[in-house]
Amino acid sequence: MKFLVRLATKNLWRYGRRTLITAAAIALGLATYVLLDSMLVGADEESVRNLIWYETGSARVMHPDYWAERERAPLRHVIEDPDSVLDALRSQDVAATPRTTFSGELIVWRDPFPEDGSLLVHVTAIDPETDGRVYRFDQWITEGRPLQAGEPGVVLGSWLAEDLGAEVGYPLIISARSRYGARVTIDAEVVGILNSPNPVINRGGIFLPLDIADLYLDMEGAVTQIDLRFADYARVEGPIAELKQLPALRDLEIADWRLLGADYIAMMEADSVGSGIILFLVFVIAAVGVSNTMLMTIFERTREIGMMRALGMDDRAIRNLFLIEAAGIGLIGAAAGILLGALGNIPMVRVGIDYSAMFRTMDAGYRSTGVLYGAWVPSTFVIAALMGVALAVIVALVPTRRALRMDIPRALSRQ
Amino acid sequence: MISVTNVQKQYRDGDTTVHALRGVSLSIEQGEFISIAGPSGSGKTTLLNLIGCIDTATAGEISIDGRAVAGCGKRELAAIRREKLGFVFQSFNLIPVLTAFENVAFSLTLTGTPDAEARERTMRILDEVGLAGMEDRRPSQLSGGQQQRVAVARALVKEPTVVLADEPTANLDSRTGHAILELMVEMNRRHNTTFVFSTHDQMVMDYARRLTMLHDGEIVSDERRSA
Amino acid sequence: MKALSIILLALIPATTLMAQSAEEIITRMERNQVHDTSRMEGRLIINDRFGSRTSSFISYARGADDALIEFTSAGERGQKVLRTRDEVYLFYPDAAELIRLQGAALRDSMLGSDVSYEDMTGNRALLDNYRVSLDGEETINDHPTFRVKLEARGRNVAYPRQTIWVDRELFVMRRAEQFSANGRLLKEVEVKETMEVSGLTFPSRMVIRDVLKRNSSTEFVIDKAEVNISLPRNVFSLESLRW
Ligand SMILES: Nc1ncnc2c1ncn2[C@@H]1O[C@H](COP(=O)(O)OP(=O)(O)OP(=O)(O)O)[C@@H](O)[C@H]1O
Ligand SMILES: [Mg+2]
Repeated sequence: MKFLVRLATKNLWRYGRRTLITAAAIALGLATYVLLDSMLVGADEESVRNLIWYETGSARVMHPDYWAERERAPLRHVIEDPDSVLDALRSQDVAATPRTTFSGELIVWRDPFPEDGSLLVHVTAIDPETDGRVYRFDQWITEGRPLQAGEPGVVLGSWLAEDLGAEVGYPLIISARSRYGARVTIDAEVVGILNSPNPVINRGGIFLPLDIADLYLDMEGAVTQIDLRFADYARVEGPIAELKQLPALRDLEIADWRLLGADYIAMMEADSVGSGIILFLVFVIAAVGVSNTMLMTIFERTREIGMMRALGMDDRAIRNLFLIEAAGIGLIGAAAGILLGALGNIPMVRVGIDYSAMFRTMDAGYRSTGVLYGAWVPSTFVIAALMGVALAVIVALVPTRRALRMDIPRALSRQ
Repeated sequence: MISVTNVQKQYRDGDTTVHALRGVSLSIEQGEFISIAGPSGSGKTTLLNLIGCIDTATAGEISIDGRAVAGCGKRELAAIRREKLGFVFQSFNLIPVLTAFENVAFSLTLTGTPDAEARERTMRILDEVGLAGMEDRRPSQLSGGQQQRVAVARALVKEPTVVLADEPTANLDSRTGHAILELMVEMNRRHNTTFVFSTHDQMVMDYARRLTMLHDGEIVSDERRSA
Repeated sequence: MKALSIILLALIPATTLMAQSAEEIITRMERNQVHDTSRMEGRLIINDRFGSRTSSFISYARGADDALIEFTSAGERGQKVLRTRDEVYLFYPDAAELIRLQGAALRDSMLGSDVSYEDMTGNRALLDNYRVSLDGEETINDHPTFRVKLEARGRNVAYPRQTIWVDRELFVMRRAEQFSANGRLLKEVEVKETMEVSGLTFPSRMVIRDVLKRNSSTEFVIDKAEVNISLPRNVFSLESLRW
């Protein structure tokens, strides 16, 4: 075996140019894979962060029956006494903020709006004092200012504002039903426009101060949800298990961001299938690119194979020799590919790629609006390295076996 | 020691069958220096390949050192080649990435000879074939004659029952060819190694102590001569 | 309730000019407009920014609770809306699908009109839901009317406030306005024509405007009406939807 490795190394060295070309093809494939994966993982990480920071929090406390009817955002199943829950959460040092989500119709009229219109919407009533403990909107208010308690102001997602033609200072009406079903209208003014990193919020976010919603919707202090953020925002199992012990939360339900962002999670899972397919494609493309040179390499040495067999070398040993050579090429390719991928990944992680134009028009499901950053994923590098070696070996297997099936005189008479 | 009994070899070439050997019988004794001669296409290479266990006969029997080759599997044949047979090819067929020393030692590596012994035997045989001081050269740094010397050394180093050489001088100019033949004669004399070589060159035949003529797949004459 | 109003009606001639309580006015109006049973044929003319389109229908009603509307015009032929005391069902013949409307779905507009399913088939026993008070007298389209203010008794009434103008002579609605809890005008109903059948006078052409939507109005026309007739037994059952 040692002899085979030595011989293989010498062969690799001797056919240096071919070795390099083949290894380069593998390297290119692996670098592509590493970068693609970095981007997808980066997008996922960013999406999860944006989902949690702008849309779901780490988890949400709500009435146990609320979840089943969430599409209609009913005010029927509410948390009657949010303060006791908030107190209990505060005692656990969990960042929490009460919110009420309700469905309604947003009505805008021509002048100042460009035309009359109405839109079925979900409105989120937030507590301006405490919302920032869980969510991070204020820094993304690009026009106007944040909400203030007690004033009938509205902050709109930037794309929604753009679609409506809304600007700061414009009046609008929210038509909804009170908790008991009576028709209510809220006359409000656009005070701010929010351009967050979360496209779902930008596309449909409508925010109102909680006390205004409470007054108009006849909520009498009740809210539909209390949103939480944990210290490690995406890690929820431990904290939720602890919170479930609290007496104040006994009759309530806690849903984590995975459940709250189920549409996104589903997409992410579909995505990992997609990236599996991409991985496979990269593999196939590299394999096709490499198999040709590998085939030539081995066929060119048919006479050498015949000679070694004539001298009594075992077919198995010969096959191993060629596979070791292929593995060597794979290893060189993997090393180069990883190096290339790592170098390419540095700007991907630091600078990112700007997709804003794409995300604006296409609802890809990603919770990201613009620049996507790569991520460092050690396992990808390991997988890439293994893949490079495996690929080279697999590709070498077929021509080696074919050369070994040829009878020796014919192999020897090859030119 | 080597006996070839009524051996036939047919090749199928599309629809036609080529009778390369039509019942050849031959017996070769230890220490013989035998030339298989005949015109092109007469079956020389075919016969050598069959004796060399790199091809199998259609009919008939071949045995080497009393061992019948016919029933052997691939691995057994490889073992016979490894241990009992040496090859010298027309086009040298050295491993290009190995030095002269390594090419010769390769034979011994295959038989699992211990390193120290292999080294010593290799150095000695290289000395004998006149390549002392060139053991570190690679084939591309050697002349054709020198390469063929390495090939002879590679065949001899494992002390085989027989060395088979298919037109060993065809790729060499006549002076170098003479030198190689001289070398083989010398080795045959010194080690009593059996040599079987093919040729259609009269000059080469003159070196043989036994000349077997093939024609159209049959032995037409088989004569021994004294040196 | 009904018995009481019959007694009241017996005591007070219909044409009396005596001052009347708001309750009496509403009661007499409902006596005209809410029929024990009825069968009507009519049209719904919807005007919005897409233009004007007409849907014709046949409706059956029994008291304030039960109603069945079947559309007969080409676009929506066979579509039915059934209202019973507690539920509203939709039937789409193409899909042979029966849908029970719940919650917010009740607030959807019927055929894109200014009328929601809830409005169209809603509980019309006003005095159950509202406290009423007489707010003055006014002439609407040359008809002298009482202006009656309605204020919801509970918090679960869709329109917490309404104003209804009731014809002083015929006790038929001439105009109505519906407001949100905080007093914004949501809907206007203007009665253009009335009809008298079997001594009962009720609106036969009215224009309904969803004020929030602007530029849209729905005209509700009754071409033919029969009241206090006998209806097939199971008109207001789910089976009837699948005729
Ligand atoms: N693999 C093969 N398939 C078909 N025919 C073959 C094959 N190998 C050899 N032959 C035929 O068998 C006959 C003998 O060939 P062989 O190579 O043994 O002759 P040779 O005496 O070595 O000739 P040369 O002097 O040209 O080397 C020839 O007619 C040749 O064409
Ligand atoms: Mg030949």
